[in-house]
Amino acid sequence: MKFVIYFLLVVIPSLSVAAPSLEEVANSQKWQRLLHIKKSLFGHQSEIKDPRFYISPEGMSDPLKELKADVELWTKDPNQQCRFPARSRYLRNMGLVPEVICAEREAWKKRLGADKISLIFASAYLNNPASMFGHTFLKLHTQNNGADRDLMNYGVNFAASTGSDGGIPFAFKGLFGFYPGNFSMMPYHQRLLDYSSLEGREIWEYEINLTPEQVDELVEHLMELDSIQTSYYFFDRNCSYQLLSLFEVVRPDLNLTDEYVYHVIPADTIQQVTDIPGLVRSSRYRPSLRARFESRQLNAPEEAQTLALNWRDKIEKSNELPVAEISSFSKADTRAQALDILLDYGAIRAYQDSGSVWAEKEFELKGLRASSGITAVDAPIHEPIPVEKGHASARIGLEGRIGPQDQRGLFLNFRPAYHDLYSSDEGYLRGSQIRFLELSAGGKESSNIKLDSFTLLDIVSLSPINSYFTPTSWRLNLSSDHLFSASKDFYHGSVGGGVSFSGDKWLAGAFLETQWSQLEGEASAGSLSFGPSVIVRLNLSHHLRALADLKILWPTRNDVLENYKHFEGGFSYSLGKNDELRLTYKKLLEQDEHESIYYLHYF
Amino acid sequence: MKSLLAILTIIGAASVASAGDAGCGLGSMILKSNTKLQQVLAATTNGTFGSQTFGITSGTSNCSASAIVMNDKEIQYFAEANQTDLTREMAQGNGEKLSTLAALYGCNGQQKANFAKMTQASYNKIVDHKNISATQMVQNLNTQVAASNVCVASNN
Repeated sequence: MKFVIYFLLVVIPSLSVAAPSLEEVANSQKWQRLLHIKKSLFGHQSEIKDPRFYISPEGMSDPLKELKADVELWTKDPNQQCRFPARSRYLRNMGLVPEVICAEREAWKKRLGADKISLIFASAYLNNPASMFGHTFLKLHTQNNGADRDLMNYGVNFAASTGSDGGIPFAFKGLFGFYPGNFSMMPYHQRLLDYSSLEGREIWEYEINLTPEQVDELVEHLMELDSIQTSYYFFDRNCSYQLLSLFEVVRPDLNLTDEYVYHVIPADTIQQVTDIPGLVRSSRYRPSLRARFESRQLNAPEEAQTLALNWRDKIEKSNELPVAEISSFSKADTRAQALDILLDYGAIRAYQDSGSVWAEKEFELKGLRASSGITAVDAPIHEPIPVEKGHASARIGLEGRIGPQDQRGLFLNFRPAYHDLYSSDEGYLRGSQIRFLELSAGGKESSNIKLDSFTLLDIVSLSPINSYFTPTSWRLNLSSDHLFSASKDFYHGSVGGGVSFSGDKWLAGAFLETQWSQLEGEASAGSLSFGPSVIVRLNLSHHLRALADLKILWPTRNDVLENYKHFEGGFSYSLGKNDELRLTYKKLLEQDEHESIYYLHYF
Repeated sequence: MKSLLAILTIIGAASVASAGDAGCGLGSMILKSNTKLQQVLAATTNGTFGSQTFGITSGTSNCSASAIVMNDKEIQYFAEANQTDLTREMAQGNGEKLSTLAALYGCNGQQKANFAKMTQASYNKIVDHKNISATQMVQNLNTQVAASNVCVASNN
């Protein structure tokens, strides 16, 4: 018995008192995550490329050297720890550096008073399918801010400082990491203005399951990243990636960033966190001004709808407000409802164009509305299907070509991103298609595998017109298809503009297109063709859709590609969120056609 | 429940702070409209235009200390950033930003709806001329809130 007591009181504590070695700490998951280190072929490389984030000149590539430099400095001058609150806290916990009180830091944290953190997803509504990828940022909730002070919380964003660049320099610099990115903080309401200033972004908030201590530590880590700049890459080290690495610092149990190799799509990160059991406590939807306007307009009594359109037309034709007509309209309720529609519409127009009559006459219009004295009713909000309920962004599939006889075979289809019009659009922007790097290869026999088609980029933006907005629809396609009949590849690049219409269960777009085409092996520089195209998409049921896409082009000179006709159509059936069956018919030029069945899996 | 004294304190602080000064200086940071190119670029790349501050603790306004808005500047800051939406909601007598503003003035529960109605009824005293500055608008608002006692508990 004495021996047992001796063992418990002396031996065991003395075993645990030995401080971890510096090597152990340098290799610990915590240290690596605090330094944003990713193991690669080149060893331990930190992803934060700002030398100010390190005390050792070799800190960026050597976590042990950095640790030694930190320990040495902070032992000699403990107050220096205050520059790196999260990192130094870890070392204090390991017993490697002395205790210190950072009064200023603590005071700032107290004023911020963050107790909860939400991941915010901003999607897009507008006529821009590229913005389907969305954007993510953080909301830091201040303790005691109730629901009516939610807008007073703070938003933290990782973004690139792009200056006034545009066009090609912008795209090039962004893709290849030539812009510096950094974290910044501002009031949540102001952060939201960045996205709602386009009057189109739907917002979803996802409260992340973190303890108050973890929230505190994340805030401390943000403080040590304050004004630190690191390269911003549109594809991979972007806004969403950086936020995930913040969560990894305070939640050692989570592995969020490892699975992203070449690209990080913001919407994917939302799918990811909502898939992890218990990581998201709750979520909330904030409609954009555009969504609220549409709801208000569609749900208003018919008389108010007609009146609003009437006044809208008068205002836009004359650039004046028909003040007398508006104020003398007898039914106060209807007048107020019509003005509410026009105020929302006018706000959207004014954002789009600060010179428009809606910006000019804003003061008068609001005055007219106020004098009605009737309280506006909140229009019913219909929450769109959130992104996490949609299919995943990458896709792999098997195509069984069933006809004609001589083309029968099996093809493998792969696409890293993103979404096409056959699929269910739950969680996606209605009417938008982005196909990026889609590849199909296969053949009749396994000894004869050929590239069948390759799509570099295929974007379709069907933005239906309505009584208030007449956006342009457009499409763009850069692809190559194998022509069975000619045993040659057919390269084409096309761009088109047009108009779209929609109903409850259908979408249709009509375009005028220009196309450059070239047959493999031709000596000439290719040919230019012009003509119309039409796309129609039908929702036949919750799981079943039909799509048809017809293009007829006339060449500018007579050559192989006279009278170009291209038709593709078929049915798509969703087996679940991430699985789909398709039956398609394709006709390329006059000679090539085939029917196929696809099984597609999203991941 | 807030007493009249507490409300007057909030208003007093806001008035002293904003009297004669240029407000929070957010003007250049708030986008009022976008060119088509800015819209497309911002949507595709999430690059923020004009309002990117350069850190976590470095706010760039007269109303924040190290990026955190000072308590007595909350109303001014909120009004400046959201003036367009606030005036619209005041004209309509309803809205989330208006409700937030009411909360900043110390209104609770049903008082917030009363606040909203009050701003609509006194709209032309609050937004009394075209292109009114946010500072001026807040001063007018302070006057109306004090005069109407709208955020004061009666017998709760």
